[in-house]
Amino acid sequence: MTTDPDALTRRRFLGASVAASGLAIAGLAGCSFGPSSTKDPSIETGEQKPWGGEVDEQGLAKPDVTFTDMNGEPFPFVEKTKGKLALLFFGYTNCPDVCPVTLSSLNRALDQIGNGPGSDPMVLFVGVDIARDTPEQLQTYLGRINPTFLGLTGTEKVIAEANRQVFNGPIAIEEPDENGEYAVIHSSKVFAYSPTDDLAHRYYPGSDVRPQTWVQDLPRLAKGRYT
Amino acid sequence: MTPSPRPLLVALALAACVLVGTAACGSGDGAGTAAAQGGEVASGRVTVDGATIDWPANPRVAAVRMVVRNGTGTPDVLRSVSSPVAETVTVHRTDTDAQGRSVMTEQAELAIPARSSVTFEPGGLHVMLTGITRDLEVGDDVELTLTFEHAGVVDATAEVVEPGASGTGGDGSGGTHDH
Repeated sequence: MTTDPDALTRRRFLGASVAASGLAIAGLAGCSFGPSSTKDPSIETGEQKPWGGEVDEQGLAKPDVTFTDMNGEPFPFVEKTKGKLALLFFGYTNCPDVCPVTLSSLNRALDQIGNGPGSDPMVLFVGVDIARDTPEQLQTYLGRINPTFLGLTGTEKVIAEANRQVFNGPIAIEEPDENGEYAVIHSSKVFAYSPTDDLAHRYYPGSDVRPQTWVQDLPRLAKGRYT
Repeated sequence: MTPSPRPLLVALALAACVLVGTAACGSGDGAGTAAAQGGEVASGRVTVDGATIDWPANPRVAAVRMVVRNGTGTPDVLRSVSSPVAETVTVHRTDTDAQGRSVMTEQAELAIPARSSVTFEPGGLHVMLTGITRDLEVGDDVELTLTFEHAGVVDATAEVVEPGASGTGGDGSGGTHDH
């Protein structure tokens, strides 16, 4: 069973600007270091600290959809995040591993950054499991990690469309067990949208990202840098 | 990530993958199974070390991280885990598929090679507790019962810790430390 009505017809990773990056992710599934022609050498800028994640020079546009926020209000994504450092992540609130690890890693990093550039990104968590990820549930869930994180949901169509626009693999809801519990297969990439041009030039493979990576990258990302 | 020259990192990564075989390579950044062949003290027992649970954002779902050590000369298999605080307890491994998606696969029979350890850590192996029947607080102890093919029943206690503090997710150092 899949929640994505486009699952069978969409052309994923093909001919898109992130095709190379997508392949890199696939190759990296295991060891994360990888064949990385897409990774920046980080020496040209004189930076001592290497960047985390993967770079996309061309940049990925924001999903042009209107989500529903945690108060049940419309959240036109492009308009609401314009000019902000915005971190976008798709997950679900019954996710035991990748989602809480990713969110708590970000939270710990923000604690360490404290003030200044990169200390107040918009962290946007899209709950893709619409049967359980209601606005109220998102509010409770994110409130337990970091109350400044924003939860977004929407109709199945809106979520599938947003997911497609960022070239994530289709979202699939697995069969419930005898207790009605089920897992959801979803991309674990965190997209970092630049405050300068509103494009994601860098994205991060979910739970692979340690707090220290964010501590290093968020202040740079906040200045519109990505290499 | 270590600020090392990239080629060295790649070489190390490849070496690590070769050393530990498919176990480490299937689980994302080395987080997951890492069998430290031959590196364990022959305690003669199967033990569980450092079991922790991140205080869950969703009170009904949590993940246990730990190190299972097989200090015997006999390969063993983890058959099941149970806990009085959860309706369902399953062993899962999170992998990243070809489309960059996180996929959890149940590990109904998890091999614990002789004189080796298997590390459960963020983004890799975890014991998933679902249908948690009471509110967990930081500092709480959660009883776990692990059943192995040869070692039989092994009891363990997992401590509830601050979100992101379990396994290697919170210390910024990453990696697998037991070999």
